[in-house]
Amino acid sequence: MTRPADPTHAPRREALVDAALARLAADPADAAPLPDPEPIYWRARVIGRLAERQQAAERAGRPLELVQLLAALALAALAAAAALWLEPDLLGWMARAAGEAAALGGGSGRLALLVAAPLLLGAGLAGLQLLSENR
Amino acid sequence: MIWSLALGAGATAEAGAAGQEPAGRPSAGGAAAASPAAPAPFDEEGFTALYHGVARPLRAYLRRLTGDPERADDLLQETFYRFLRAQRPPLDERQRTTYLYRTATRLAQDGWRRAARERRRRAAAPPEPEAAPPPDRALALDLDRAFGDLKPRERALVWLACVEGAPHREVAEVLGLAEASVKVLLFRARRRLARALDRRGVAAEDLR
Repeated sequence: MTRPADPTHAPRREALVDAALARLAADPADAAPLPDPEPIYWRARVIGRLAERQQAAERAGRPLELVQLLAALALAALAAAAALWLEPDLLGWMARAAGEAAALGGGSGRLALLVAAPLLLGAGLAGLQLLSENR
Repeated sequence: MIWSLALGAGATAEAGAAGQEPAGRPSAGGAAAASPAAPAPFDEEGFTALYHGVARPLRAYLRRLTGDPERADDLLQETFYRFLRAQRPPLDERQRTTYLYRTATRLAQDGWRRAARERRRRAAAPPEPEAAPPPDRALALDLDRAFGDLKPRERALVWLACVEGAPHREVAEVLGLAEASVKVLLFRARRRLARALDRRGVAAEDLR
């Protein structure tokens, strides 16, 4: 009677594991295109700027509405562009950016509204465009 | 093999003082600590170069950790975003690689509990009948599943040490382990992987 191969026998185990890992590392699925780095960069840049401005405004004791309004307008412009070009990825990233912008505002209802409004506008435009294309 | 690349490229930087940016890399984050609210000193070109140097192996790592290509893409983007936004001293190339992998690991860890719940739910549900995949695909599935049988930390450990070729010190840093325990944990993880492969009927001969 022959004994079955023991998977815990060291040389055999090492060879099996190395071969399996080599095969996993050569998985062609890993060669799929990478996500575009541009939205990541600009998301960090926009939020960084906003945080910087907000800190400066807080230090100076100024109200933040102007900064928030400018940020909201910038987001509105982006939302409209994203909606017009139907870039769901961009809309998704903007939603995250908007969430962070709202968090920066310390959860102020007014800021949340300012940030949410352009997103709603963007989503609405995207919806309208989808409807018109499907009609 | 990003680690060996990073170590090779970062050798001169590592020789310099800790926290100093290597000379001759204008795109790197030399001014990272200049303003607490502006921690993203990379220009777009510098960031894109960094991204394309690290993103592919990092995504493969995340894919193995999560078992989900879409989630791996999401975590990859979040990892780089957090890297840009983080307030930290300037890093050399090796430190950057470690930082990115550590961030990615932590982000993946957040989802491990959720993934475990999902696995338990799927395991409790009756199996759906599925057509037999072609032999090559079947082998790939078996490999994926055997690797997925490892605990999340073991997956990270094995991938970093055996596929990425990261030194044990870096593996320990990324995973928050003591360097001395990496060897033992790695041995156990490899043994567990061998058993998982054996359970699924994968032999070394199938992989040649």
